[in-house]
Amino acid sequence: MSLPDLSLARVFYDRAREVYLETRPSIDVTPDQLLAIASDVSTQLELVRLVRELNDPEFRQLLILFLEDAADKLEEAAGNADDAADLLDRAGLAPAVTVTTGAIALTLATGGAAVPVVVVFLGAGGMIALGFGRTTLKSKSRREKSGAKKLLSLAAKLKGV
Amino acid sequence: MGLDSHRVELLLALFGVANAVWSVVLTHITTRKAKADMRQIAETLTASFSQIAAELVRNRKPSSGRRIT
Repeated sequence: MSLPDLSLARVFYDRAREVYLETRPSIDVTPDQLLAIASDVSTQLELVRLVRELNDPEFRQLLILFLEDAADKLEEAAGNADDAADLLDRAGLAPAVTVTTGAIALTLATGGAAVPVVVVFLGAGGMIALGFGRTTLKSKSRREKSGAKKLLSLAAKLKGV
Repeated sequence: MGLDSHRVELLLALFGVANAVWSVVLTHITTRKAKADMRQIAETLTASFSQIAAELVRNRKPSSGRRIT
C-alpha cells in the first residue's frame, strides 16, 4: 500500500493560485490528478488546510466551482459510456446472439456441418469482443460516477472552510 | 436441393463473418470514443478553470473598488 502523495494537493493549489493571480496561463490538471486528490482523505485535508490558511473567499469559490464543473463533466462522460454500453447491447450483442443461436441450431440439424460450426465460433468470438467492450465501458462509467461523487464531496469540504 | 443448402451455407457464412466483423468494429469504436472523451475532459477542464478564474477576477474588480472607497 502506497502513501498518499500530499504534494499533489500542494501542486494543484499552487497552480490554481498562479492562474488566479494571472501569473500562469493555464492550470494543466488532468481528471486523474484531480481524482487522486479527491480520492484520499489526507490529500483532501491537505488542500482544505491550504485553502483555510490562505483565507481568500474568492479563491475558495473558484476551487469549489471548478470541482463542481469537473464533477459535471465526469457525470456526463459516465452517461456517454453507459449509452455506448447500451448501443453494444442493442446493435452488437442482440444480432450476435441471434446469429450464433441460429448457427447452433443448424449445426445440430446438419449433424455438425463445417460452415455452421465455423459460424458458431465467429459468433462466439464476436460476443466475447462485445462482452469485453461492454465490461470496459461499464467499469469506466462506474469509475467516473464515483469520481464525480468524490469531487463533489471535496467541493462540499471546501464550502465548509 | 443440394444447391439450396449450399446457398444457405454461403449465406450463413456471410452472416457469421459480417456479424463478427461488426461486433469487433463496434466494440473498437465505442471503447475508443470513451477514451477520447476522457482526453477531451482533460482539455476542457484546463479551459474551464481559466474561464471561471477570469470570471471571478472580472467580478472582483468593481467590488474591490467599492471596498477602497
